[in-house]
Amino acid sequence: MSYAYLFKYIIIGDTGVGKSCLLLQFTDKRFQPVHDLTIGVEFGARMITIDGKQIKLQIWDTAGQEAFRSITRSYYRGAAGALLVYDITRRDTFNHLTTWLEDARQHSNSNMVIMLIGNKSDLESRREVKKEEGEVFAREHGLIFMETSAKTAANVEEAFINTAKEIYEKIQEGVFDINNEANGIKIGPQHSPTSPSSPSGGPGSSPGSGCC
Amino acid sequence: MTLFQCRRFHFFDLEKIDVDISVQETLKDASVRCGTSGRGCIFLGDSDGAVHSISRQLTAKTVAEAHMKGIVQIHQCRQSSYLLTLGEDEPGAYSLKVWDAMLVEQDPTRSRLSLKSVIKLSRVKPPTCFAVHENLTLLAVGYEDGEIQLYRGELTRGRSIKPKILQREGEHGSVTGLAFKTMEKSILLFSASKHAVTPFDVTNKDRDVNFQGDKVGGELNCSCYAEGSSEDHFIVGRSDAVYCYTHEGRGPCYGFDGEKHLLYYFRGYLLIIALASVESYHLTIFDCANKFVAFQSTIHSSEPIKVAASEWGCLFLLTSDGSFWQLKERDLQTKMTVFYKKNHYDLAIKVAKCNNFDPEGMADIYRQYGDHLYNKGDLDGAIRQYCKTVGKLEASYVVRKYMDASRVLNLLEYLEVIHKTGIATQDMTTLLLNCLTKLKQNEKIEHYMKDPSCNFLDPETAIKVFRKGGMYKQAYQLANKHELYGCALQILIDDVRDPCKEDLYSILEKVLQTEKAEEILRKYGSSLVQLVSHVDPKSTESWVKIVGLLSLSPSKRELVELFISKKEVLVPLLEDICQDFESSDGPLMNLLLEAYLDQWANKKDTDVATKEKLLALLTKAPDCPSWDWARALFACKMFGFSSGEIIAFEKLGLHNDLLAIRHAEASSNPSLWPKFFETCQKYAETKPSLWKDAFYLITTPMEGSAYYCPQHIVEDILDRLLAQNLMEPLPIIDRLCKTRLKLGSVRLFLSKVLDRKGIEEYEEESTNLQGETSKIREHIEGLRTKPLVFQGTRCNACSQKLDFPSVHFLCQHSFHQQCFDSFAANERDCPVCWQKNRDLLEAERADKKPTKASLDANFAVQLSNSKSNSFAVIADAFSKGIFRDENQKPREILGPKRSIEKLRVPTVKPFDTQEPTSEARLRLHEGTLSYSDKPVSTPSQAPIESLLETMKKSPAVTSGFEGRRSPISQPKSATSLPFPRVQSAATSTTSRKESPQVQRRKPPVSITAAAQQTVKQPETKNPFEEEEDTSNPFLEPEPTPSKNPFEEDEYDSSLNPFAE
Repeated sequence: MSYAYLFKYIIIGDTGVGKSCLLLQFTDKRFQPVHDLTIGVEFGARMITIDGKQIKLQIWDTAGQEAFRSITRSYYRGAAGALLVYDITRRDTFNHLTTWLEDARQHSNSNMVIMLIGNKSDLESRREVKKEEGEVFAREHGLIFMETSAKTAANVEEAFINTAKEIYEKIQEGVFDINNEANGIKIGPQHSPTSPSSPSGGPGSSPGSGCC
Repeated sequence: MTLFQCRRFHFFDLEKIDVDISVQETLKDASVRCGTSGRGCIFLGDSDGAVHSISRQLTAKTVAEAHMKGIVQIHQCRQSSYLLTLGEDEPGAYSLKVWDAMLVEQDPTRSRLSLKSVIKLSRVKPPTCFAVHENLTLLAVGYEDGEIQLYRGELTRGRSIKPKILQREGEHGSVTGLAFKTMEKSILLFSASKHAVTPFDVTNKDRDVNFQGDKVGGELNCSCYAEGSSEDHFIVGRSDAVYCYTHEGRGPCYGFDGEKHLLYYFRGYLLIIALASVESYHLTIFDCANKFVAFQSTIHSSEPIKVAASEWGCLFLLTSDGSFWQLKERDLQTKMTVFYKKNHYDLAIKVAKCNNFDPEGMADIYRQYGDHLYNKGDLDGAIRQYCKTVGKLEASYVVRKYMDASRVLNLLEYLEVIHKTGIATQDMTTLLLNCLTKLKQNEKIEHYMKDPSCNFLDPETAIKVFRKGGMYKQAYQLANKHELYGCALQILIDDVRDPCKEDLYSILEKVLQTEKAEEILRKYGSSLVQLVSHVDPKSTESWVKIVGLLSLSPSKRELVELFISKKEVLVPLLEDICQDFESSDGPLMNLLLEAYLDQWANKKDTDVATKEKLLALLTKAPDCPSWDWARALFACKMFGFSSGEIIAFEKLGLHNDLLAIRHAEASSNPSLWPKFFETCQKYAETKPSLWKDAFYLITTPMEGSAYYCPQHIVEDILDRLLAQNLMEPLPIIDRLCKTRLKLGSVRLFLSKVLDRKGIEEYEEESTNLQGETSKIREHIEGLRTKPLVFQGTRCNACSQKLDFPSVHFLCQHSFHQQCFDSFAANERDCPVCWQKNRDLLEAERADKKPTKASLDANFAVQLSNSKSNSFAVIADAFSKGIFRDENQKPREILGPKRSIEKLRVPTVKPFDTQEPTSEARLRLHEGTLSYSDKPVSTPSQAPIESLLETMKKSPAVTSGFEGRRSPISQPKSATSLPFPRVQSAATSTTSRKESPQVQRRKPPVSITAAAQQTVKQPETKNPFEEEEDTSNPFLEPEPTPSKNPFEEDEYDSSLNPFAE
């Protein structure tokens, strides 16, 4: 499938906040109440349209457990956007946000768009974190905020698409260097500018810095 | 270990194989360096450069001495039988050899590999690995220093292939793994180095592109290419996890930690061998597609595991010294059972899908999953699973569960799925709609009705449900949508009750346009009529339309009854029908007549048009065979439509009624008198009695009527009465006396009557006859009371002089005994009178014999024939007992005897007898006798003569059946006779008559003595008495058994050989 841009996302957050469910809801439009714990990093993709352009979202769904932290860290680097998820019914997941944010800021490129998501908004009765608190946290750290429910699919699309819009705007503004794949943005095959082809790639060149 | 999070199963059985001696033998001192498999054979490359094959029987054989200094890597092509080996031929000289393994594949124990080509590597640096594309035109070789060479060209020819350097040595370290990936339009080469993973695009000869890779790499043997069903990955194992790479860079990763020793991908599983400690390895088999650990174990081995090969449905692990392990996968059913047991239904479903389960199998899993969730109380989850079973699982199974749980929402969900699948039954639809109506989900219902994709609703069922649920609007809309106008109409009629005019008319119009219009109208017509008249009392247009339509309908006749109460429709419809009526349309025409009459009755005098219509109808209607004149007449009478009545009377042949009408008309309007007369004249030709009726009519006194019948008509009528002998003049005169007719008008008649001849003649005849009768009477009286002197001196037979013994008869005939004996036909009759008497009696009997029916018929015929003398006929019939009471008891048998006595009087005339009543009565009994006796058998049908004779002889002795009676009963029955007077006369007569008989039999004896004797004689001498009782020849034969051999009586059961 051809696309204008490919954005790489990463979903982070404590274990059990519903990262995999968000992804599943976004990519497959279904909800699986019982979900295996994510081992390592999983992967999903979907095409969306922004501003009339086809954009492929490639989403890494990471394991929230501490044990996998080192693995997930290695994924920050190639991501253009991150969804930082907490569970509104569990205060501790909210409390850990700072750690996650630090982690993300540290390992990702500085332009990465981070969206704060308070998931499980359908469980209003068991809410422990007020929406306002999330808003405050987002404002303080310059994040976009949204409450979603992977179960009812409320705001799920919006969360991903708004993030994509943000990235797209940044591209238009020229903030992102779209030629650097490490930013998590790739230009689609038909859009790719005639890149300097290197028939025999430089022997010492880093694999990460390869041209398109 | 982080693996505790992953679901683990034990789907493989690990087994160390001990029959590996042959492998070790073939290896000798060398060690296994590498191996490959894929086409029914495992090939091993050893440190001495030999290639060994292992057959299915696990017997090893050396098949080639490939490289002198050891083999680095060996590869078996999947799609062809080529085997490639990379090895060191001489120190510092490496080559890649292409072998044809065809023969070895066929017989691994005997054949050897045949060398196809040799590609000598240009570099002296030791290569670490190679990869070959399946089409055998691309070859990549990785070196220890990190360089990757790419060879393009026909590898099997192996000549003049120049390598190209894809990647130079560098900080990424030695190449540890290479793999080609064929995509739709391009070919990728994945390379893993110690510190990097890089994909290259090698599609084009001139332009090799490397993508952004990763700056971490993997060890040798710790990379493999996974061709999964869903995704293709280049998998690299590192100490923290197993990373998957795609052409777009890094993909998912699986967190299996531990220093990786070997990665091997087979049949959807990833085998990960990690170093656990010295001499022990962690074995993990991971199902990449379904994300679970299928096997986990630890192997202790002093030698490193060098080869993992999947062949013959098993996985084999070989250490460098040739030790063998076999991992055998458990069968699918076992796996599923485990999943079920552990309630891992989601996994079961995934695995089942991967294994291409049939829909039934899948449905079963879904059902089990659903049941599991249901039992856990997760009804929402369960219904989702049940939804997937739609079409396979009996829906009622699910429905019942949710009915019990009264989870309407869930049920709704399920039912919707069922309906979308299109397998819903009526009940399901009903249930679905019931759910919706219960939940008041009107929007959803609306949605269903509007959305064309939701056409699963069976409209009729849906309408039914809606109506039941009180959702008339929806039902109506639905009916409209599906063009079920009949239904819609019904809804309007039954449910809405007070619809707006427009609705009703629009639906009506639609109904009329459909083919089923008549059917619908037939069904709902009557209520429709009511409804329309209720909603729009003044409507006429619609009716015109309806009639127009109906008149085209072939079944319009059946529809008529709907509109009985609706004249606006009824009349035109009937008119249409009667325009072109069929033979069975009579009742409808009658109906039309009545409808017209009803119309006409409202304004009798002015409505000429209707009257004309009526008359037209009446003239036309009789052509129809089923036209009912009686009904028409009734209707005309009801409404006072005399013109109709007249026609009806004419047609019905009720001329007297017609006459009555004419008379009535004439009485009020004298100018109509001629018409009255004409009518008479017209019909009297065939029915003369009409004149009589006319006479009665004109002579009936009319109250308040001033117009009497004109004189000439009266005269005419009287004339005809007289001329045709329709009435005796006397009653005519009698009647005339009571009327106010002018004498002038009857004068002529009277004079005519008086002029009629014959009065005197009749009187004369009458006196004659009277005289005769009185003579006879005297004679009888004489016989009865006076002694009779026999003065005959000559025998009436021989005319000789009479001498004793002689026989005298009351008829004054005397015979010699001898003469009498020889001459007389029987002892009792006078031979002279006998003939005469017999004739008389014959006549009498002939009169008596005919049955009542024939008498009646005769009577009718005679009556109609006798124009002038009908009274005579009646009197005659009367005399024959035609008016007799049938119920008279036959026992009164003495009556006839006496009457017979009377018959002997020769001139018996009914008119002349002085006792006509008694005569008649006597005859009455006579008739009773003859008729009641008729069905009885012969003896009771005693001939009259014999009766008479016995009467003559003795009152007590009778012949025939009388004789059989006891003599004592005789007087008793006599006294019981209802006519004592006649009886006494009779007895005396008989006693009188006896004397001559007695004299005849015993001449010397005096009469009285003879009488006494005769009384006694029969008692002893009756020849019939004893004979009949004892030796009746007809009585005996009956009981005499016939000699039927088969009769039961004769059968001796004991003789039956077959009897037990």
